[in-house]
Amino acid sequence: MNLVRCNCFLVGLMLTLIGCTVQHIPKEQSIEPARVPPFKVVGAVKLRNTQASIENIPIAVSPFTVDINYKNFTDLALKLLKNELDKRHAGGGTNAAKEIKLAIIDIKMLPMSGNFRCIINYTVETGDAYVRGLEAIGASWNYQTAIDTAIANVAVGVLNNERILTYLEK
Amino acid sequence: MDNPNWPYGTAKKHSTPTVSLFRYHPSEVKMATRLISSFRPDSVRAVELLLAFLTFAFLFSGCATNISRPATPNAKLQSYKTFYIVQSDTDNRGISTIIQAELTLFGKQAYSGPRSSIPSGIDAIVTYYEDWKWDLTWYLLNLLIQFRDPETNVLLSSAASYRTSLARIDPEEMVWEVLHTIGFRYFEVKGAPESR
Repeated sequence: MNLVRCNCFLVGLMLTLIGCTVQHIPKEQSIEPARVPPFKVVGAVKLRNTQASIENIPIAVSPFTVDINYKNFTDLALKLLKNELDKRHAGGGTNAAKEIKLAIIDIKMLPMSGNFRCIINYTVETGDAYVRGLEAIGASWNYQTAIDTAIANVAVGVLNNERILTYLEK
Repeated sequence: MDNPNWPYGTAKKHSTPTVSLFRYHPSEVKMATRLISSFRPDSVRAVELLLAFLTFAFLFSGCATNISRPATPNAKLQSYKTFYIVQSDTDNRGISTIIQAELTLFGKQAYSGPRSSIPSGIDAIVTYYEDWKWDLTWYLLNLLIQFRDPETNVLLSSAASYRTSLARIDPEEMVWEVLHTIGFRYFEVKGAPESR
């Protein structure tokens, strides 16, 4: 490699790395059974993603920018929620009498001392017009795991809300 | 030199005495010499440049700052009059008091206290996360401020500021920076300066 080519490579590397945008596809994390209180589901439950926005949102994860998609993230949280409901023999389907609507509305990544803290804000709405804003936090030394943990905690948060559990058990 | 097990003969039989000194076969030495000479000055320069780049990146990474945009820009929030700042359990440097003071500067009525004593008639609840770090003195590394609906707890708007050691500013300015990002403006207040 001659000097000119080498310089071009380094300039390219600098330009690429500074302000680099990456996309994070979240991975499904398993939920420990101990984190969900015992409850039973009466009847079928329909789960609905109410996040309308399909655009990628850039969030700052110093020194990069990470593109995230609220709709896809909500889909994953709903999948985890469905897994937990299925364990309690809750049926699904479009004709289900009960409904839970979920939407992730905000994700912030805070680079802390030595690790990342991902803060997810989401709204959950039940079929009996109960609306609640909740928050889920995930922390890890890498931002990907912090996000994935926070998404799993979204499902955990829904299943730890007393009002929602009462609705499911009704 | 007179080792009877030495397979390549003695130094006298070879023209290069270093060969027998290091106990390498002449062909191996030739190969090594060729290998060393293959490190051209350009390659050395490239390594130097890479090191310079890494040093540059390492040094200036401390200057990194970013302010994330508000999650849900909420036009209604600016018309709200009364706010209640819920004191964080980890806040022992009075960030809630600073937020209260800054909101007052923006012409709002602001109160702060524990979550258990939220008064009625509040337009929005303010929650926050703050992270301090030590570098000669304590400085505010991260600040996230969130505005929530008092009845449903649904997030109305939020913004964060992240400032590393070399880009540190006073907590008051950081609070102002975040509130400004959310959309609060001094010009709504009579006689207030246009910027901090």
